[in-house]
Parts: sequence; structure tokens; C-alpha cells
Amino acid sequence: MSEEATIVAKVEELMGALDQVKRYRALSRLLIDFALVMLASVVLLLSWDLAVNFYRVQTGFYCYYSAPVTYTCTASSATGSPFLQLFAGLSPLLIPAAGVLIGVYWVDRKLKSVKVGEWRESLKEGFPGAVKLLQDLKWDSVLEDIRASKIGYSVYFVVKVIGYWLFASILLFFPYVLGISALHQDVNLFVPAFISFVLVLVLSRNDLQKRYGQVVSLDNLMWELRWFSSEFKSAKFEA
Amino acid sequence: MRKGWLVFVLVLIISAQLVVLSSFRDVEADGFANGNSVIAIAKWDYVQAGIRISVTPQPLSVTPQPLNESEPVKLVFSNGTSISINSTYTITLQLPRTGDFFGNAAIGGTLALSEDQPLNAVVEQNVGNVTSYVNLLKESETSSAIPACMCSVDLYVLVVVGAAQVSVAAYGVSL
Repeated sequence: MSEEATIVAKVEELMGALDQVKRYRALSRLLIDFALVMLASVVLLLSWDLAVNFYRVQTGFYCYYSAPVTYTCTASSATGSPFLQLFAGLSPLLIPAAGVLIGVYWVDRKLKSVKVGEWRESLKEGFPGAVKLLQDLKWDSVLEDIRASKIGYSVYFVVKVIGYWLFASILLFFPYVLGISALHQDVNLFVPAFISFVLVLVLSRNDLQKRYGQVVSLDNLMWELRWFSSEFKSAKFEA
Repeated sequence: MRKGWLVFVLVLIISAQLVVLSSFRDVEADGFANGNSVIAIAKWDYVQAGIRISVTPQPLSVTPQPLNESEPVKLVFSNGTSISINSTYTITLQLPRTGDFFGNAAIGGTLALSEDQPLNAVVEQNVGNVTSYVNLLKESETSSAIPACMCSVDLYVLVVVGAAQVSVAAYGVSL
């Protein structure tokens, strides 16, 4: 392979990595969207909670949360409709879980709309195109993007795992309560929480390893680019 | 930047919601009413509450036996009207907010009230002299019992005559 072809291949590799950085940078910007969705779901949950509490004061909806295991009320204590009571009982689980799902969906959808690979046309020109791409790069902004994307990606991954943990806990809660009730044992909420945490870690271990590798490679890339940018700025290329 | 302000506003809303949620309080009282029994509910004037009182005449076959089996159970309201009860009777009452108070105060005794317990209920069974008992309650719950305090207490009293199982559930908000 000629030296020019090697440079073109290296530039293609670099631009691919920078595309990935672009996605991670967008992700770090979308974290605030994710936080907004989660906060909105908390506001919704607390509003619902307040409405139920005021309703209790007004009408005597006394069995709200009174039977957290089964979320049912006895005929003598219940004054609201069974559906309303069931929803009132499940709302602390359902509303935040819906918030997590909507947040993850929103972030994924936005990430897919990030434009990447626009450099491929220039690279078809070969070595001159590769040099032009390198000349057009804003090195300071590239290095800053890499730093921000590393942090953003790590935070998003942690939040995503916590969200899936919450979701898995909710899913596991019902079979756990049914099973433990059949065995006439006391319900311990730490059990489904712990099992679901391990389950989420097992299911996401490949993703975890892959993303960890990407964060490490981003680190390496940043060091290489620092060296390359100083070399590139001092060298003279003829496009 | 606009999103940052939106986060700030949402956090403010959540903080306000949590403060309001923490001001809801409930209280329950139940017991076997025998002879003349007094159901008393006290609350600070700044509290709005919903009260549900359930009276179930005691069946003759269970112990303890009613004092006087021939008389039906009666529920006497604070305005003097009364109703006879043959089966479980449930009534929901609204106790409105009647005043404002900024600060903390506390009252001890049968119907203790404090900042953390802004409403209280008691079922006192087999009261010999209902009038003097109610007067005693009123005295202990008036503002004269709380020196140097601009707060006041609302007291609601009902009397059950006869043998019955009584349960009181109250839920209120101090805003």
C-alpha cells in the first residue's frame, strides 16, 4: 500500500471515530432532555399524589396505599372506584417507569437523527480530499467534543442502567409478591430490587464492555489527536 | 440555557409539591362504646379535614355484653339532633379550615395537638357525665390553655348512647 493510500485509510478511520464522538456529544446534550422528561414524570406523580390526598380529605378515600401488597381495598374501607384505587396504588411505580421509557425512546430517536458520514464524498477524491478534511478540522473543538462526549456517555449509561433497573424491579415485583404470598412469607422489597439489579447487569454486560472499550478508545484517540494536531499544525501539506 | 431554566422551574415545583404533601396527616381512633360514649375530634383551626365515623351496634351474642340490651344505639350530634342505629352506620364529615396561624404550638392531654399532630380523635367509653366531660375537653382545648399563642382549636363532639363498635378515621391537611 502506498503512503498516500495509508494516509487516506488513517483519515477514514479518524473521521469514523469522530463521527462516533459526534454522536456521543449529541448524547451529552440530550442528557438535559432526559432529565427534563424524568423531572416532568416526578411532577406528574406528585401532582397525582396531591390530587389523591386532597380527594381523601374531601371524600374519605381512606384505603389509598393501605394494602401495598395487593393494592386492593376492603369493601368497608373503599369509597373510590376499584380502577381508581388500583391506579392510585400503582402510580408510584407506573409513572416513573413510563418516564424512563419515554426518556430513553426520546434520546434514542434524537441520536438516530444525528448526521454522520458527510466526509465520505471528500474522501473519494483520495489523498487530496483526505488532506482537505484534515485542514478543515477544528482541532480545539474536536478535542473539547471528545472530552464532553466521554462524560456525557458515561452519565447516560449509568442513568440508563438505573432506569432499566427500576423497570425490571417493577416487572419482577408482581411475580415475587405472588410467589412469596403463596409461601406465606413476609415480603421484602430488597429481594426483587437486588435480583433485578443483577439481572440488568447480566443483560447489559456486553453493552457495558463495548461502551467501556469505547470510552477507553476515546481516551487514546484524544491523546493521539493532541499529538497529531500539533504535528499537523507545524507541517506543510500540499492538497 | 432555556432548558436549564426549565429544569430549575421543575425542581422548584417538585420542592413545593413535597412541602404540601408533607402537610397531610391522618389519625385513627376506635373502641367499644358502652353506655354514654364520647367521640371527640380536635384540630388546629388552620387544618382542613375529612372525618369518617363508623358505628356498628354490638351484636347481643358477643362479649362484652351491652349494658342495656333493650335500648337501640343512638348517635347524638353536637347540635342536639340524634339518630337511632340498627346496623352499621357510616358518616363522613367535612371539618373546614377556620383560621390562620403562623408558628408552632402544642397542647397535651387527652386530645394532644402539636405541629406534627395537627388533628386528633378519641373515643372515650362509658362516660358518667357527658356534659361535664365535654366541658372539660373544651376548656383544655381553648386558646386559654395555650398561653401567648394566637392559635385556636376546633373541637367536634358526638355522643354514642348504647353498645357499639366505633371507629374514627380522619385525614387532614394543614395549609
